Amino acid sequence: MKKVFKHIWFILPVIIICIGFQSIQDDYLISDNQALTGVLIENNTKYVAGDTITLSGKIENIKSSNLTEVFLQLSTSYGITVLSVDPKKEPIKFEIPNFITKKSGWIQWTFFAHGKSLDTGSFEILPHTSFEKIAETYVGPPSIIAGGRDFTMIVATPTDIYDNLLLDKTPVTINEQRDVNTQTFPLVINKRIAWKHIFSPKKKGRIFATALLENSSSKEMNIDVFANQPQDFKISFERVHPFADGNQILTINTSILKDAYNNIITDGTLVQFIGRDDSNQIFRTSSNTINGIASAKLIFPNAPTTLKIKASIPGLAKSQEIAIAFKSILKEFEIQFSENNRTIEVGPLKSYLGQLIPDGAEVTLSIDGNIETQKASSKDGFASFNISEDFYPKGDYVFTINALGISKKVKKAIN
Amino acid sequence: MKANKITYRIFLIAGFILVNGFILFGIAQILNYLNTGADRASMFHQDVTKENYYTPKVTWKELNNEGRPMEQPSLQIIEQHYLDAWYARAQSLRSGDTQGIQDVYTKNAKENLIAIVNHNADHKTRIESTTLNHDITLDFYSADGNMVTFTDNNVRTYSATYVNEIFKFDTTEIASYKIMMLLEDGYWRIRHQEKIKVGKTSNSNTQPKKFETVIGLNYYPKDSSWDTFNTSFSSEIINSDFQKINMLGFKSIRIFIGYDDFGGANVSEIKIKKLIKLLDVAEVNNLDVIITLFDFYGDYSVLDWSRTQLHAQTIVAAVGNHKALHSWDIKNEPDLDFESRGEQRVKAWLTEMNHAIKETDSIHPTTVGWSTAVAATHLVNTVDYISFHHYQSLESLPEAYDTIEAKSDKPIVLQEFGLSTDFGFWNVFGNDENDQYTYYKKFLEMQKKDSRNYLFWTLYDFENIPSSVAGIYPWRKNKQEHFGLIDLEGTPKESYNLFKSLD
Repeated sequence: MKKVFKHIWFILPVIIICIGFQSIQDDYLISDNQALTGVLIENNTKYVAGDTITLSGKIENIKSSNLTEVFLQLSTSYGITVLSVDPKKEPIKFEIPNFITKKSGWIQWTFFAHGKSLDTGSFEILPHTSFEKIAETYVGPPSIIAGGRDFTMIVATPTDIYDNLLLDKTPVTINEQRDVNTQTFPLVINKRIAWKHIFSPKKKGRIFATALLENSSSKEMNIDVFANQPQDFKISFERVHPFADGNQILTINTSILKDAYNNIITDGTLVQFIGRDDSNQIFRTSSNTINGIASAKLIFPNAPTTLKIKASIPGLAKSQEIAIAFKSILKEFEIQFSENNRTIEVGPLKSYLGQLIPDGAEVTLSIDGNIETQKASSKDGFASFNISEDFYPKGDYVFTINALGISKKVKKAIN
Repeated sequence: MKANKITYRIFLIAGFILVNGFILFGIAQILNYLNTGADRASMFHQDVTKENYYTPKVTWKELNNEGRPMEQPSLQIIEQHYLDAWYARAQSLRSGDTQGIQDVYTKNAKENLIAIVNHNADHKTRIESTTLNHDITLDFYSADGNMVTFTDNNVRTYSATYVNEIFKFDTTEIASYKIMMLLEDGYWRIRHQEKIKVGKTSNSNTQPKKFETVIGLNYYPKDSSWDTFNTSFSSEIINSDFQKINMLGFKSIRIFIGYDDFGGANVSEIKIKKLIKLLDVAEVNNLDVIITLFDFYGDYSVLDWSRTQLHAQTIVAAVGNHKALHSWDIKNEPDLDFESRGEQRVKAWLTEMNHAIKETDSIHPTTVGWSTAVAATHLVNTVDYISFHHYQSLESLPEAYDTIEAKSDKPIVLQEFGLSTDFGFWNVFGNDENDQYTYYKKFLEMQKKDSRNYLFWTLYDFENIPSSVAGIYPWRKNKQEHFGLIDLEGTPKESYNLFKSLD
């Protein structure tokens, strides 16, 4: 044993020198990669998504034991990645990972060893066609207007199970349901998509559509068809009595608002009502439609007059004008003067049945030679005025009293 | 006793005032601090100026489609969001972080990219990449304006692969993509992206026009050294300088365009106007101008390339057909950036910029102003003629030529050489005007035999040398100050008369 150790001192330097030469030779080969050549064997230039893809290559002008770095760069549709293998193992085989093989499109590869590009090439992965497909479909806009001029569009972008768009010329069927009629439209994929215009029917309602592939279908697509623009319409009125009592409510109703295709227009459409009385005072109100009808309410006038009312949907449609006449509720009323004629009491104000008129009727007093008009509201059938000493000194005055359209003139001296 | 009391009172009151003063000061400081920070108006998000972070060349070839007429504002948004997607993709591949791609890819599509980024991260691989060209044809725009499909033709992608942070290799590839984007809550996101065609990278093998002989100098105005196009730019000064150069018998000058000076990716129109003015004056004085681009540019990061491309193509498009233009020098002495930025990356950038320039101007030759003859052997197959600088002795000049001629038979321009008359306090061993005279005399004798293309450094001595050129040491600056044929006082040196007598 001791003898072996003794000899090792002779052998060791030889071994060290040998190893040294070996490594020098390695370095030399690696740095001089100009001589390095290699090829990658492509079995195929076309694959189907999901296939197992293996590229095998060989490198020449270098001993495989001297190889340290062998890479395959893959440039795919979504990004670039690099595969490396153990270069010592022959033959060199690159297994393309599943997340790359399942996506369709071209893949460019470059085969590198020691920083040198040895070979480049590309292959194509086609979408998987034999399994179930997914018919991804979009519809827009989601609502259209009846009448046949407006349209929406259905776009089908069918994919295979790996979410790859299918190839051009794949057949796609689009089914449409309107009322009770079902229609089928055969299409083919062009530039990766299939699409179709859907024009609106004359009748409002809902269209259902779907895109069908050989063995799968999209979800149900709904398209709402709303009524078109409203046509001109009529208005009518309702009231409880024809007397201008300033108290009851006048209701004005539109006819059922429809478009040119007899569709009732969409609920909530705003209708404006404008009225005008004999003295050209304007009243305005508005209302939204429900089931095509809008109804507006106005309070009765408090003097006999004729209201002329019309309605419109601004910019789109209008009604005829209607005239509603109101009669006076009073025939006559009495006036009492007291307290040196400085207190004037009007009443009792009696209505068309002889009843006291409801509280709040407006009574006005104007005194001759004065601009000011005094106003009072009736209560329990009476209204009263006080003539102030500060403004009206003793003397003769003409009082004009006006109540619910009836006017009376009285001449009195006040103290 | 009483005096004591008063003193105490004074101290107490003064102390009280002081303490209050400090408290008030403290409160004021706190309030002041709370009022710092963002300007309150910023919460309205008014006038947010957009930085052009990604500017590959985009052209929309065809907008007609069966779906819906394309509106210009929508087109701009689609283009911006599409480029954002490429930018976010490049960022993810570079950093391994998939945050940014959530905004630019739809839920289904982003999984594909995330798988790749994660695979790269698992293998300690990073990809630095950028796209430089997008020729887009619109295929379809849906009736509701919520979906668009288009074909992006001949996308030029550069990528460099790093494994364990060590550069391994780079590629430039051409491919066409079919893209489908959806408008989701105001953002256009990529739903499908499919490479439909691959192409071959064409190495801009356009045939530039014949190479014209170069005899002249590197030019800066006397008072605008390294800053030709500053506010004191005056066509009168330039005209008188150019007349002088012309009278000395020269026919070429080399000028420099600073990358930041010209506005980076947003090239300033004012600067372009000045450049055109300079070229106009040169044309009047029968001078050919070599334009050196990208002066003082030093970033080179791959995601910055699209910006530099826009910069170069804007300038080249603006003056590419000017009669006074001789050629394009892509960058001055880029080999000095090899160490700090990586030789591979700098060379790849130069190759791409060469391509970008040739794409815009196929007529004028291109070159790179290498700092030594050895460096000039890089990219000999890419450039149209080879330029190098030589500040060593004239004896070593033939050797320098041999180095280059061994690699290529393209025309060679000795683009910078000269001798500084820097003898003085900072350099007692420096050369004086006589030495410079002898130097040029010797060069001209050699020239009789060799008839080289040359541009010497330079016409004037300069007073202000930027630190970015010669560093901060005064002896270096001093040397750089005295390379001219005319000194600071405007007196011609002896060598000036040497050149003058030639004519």
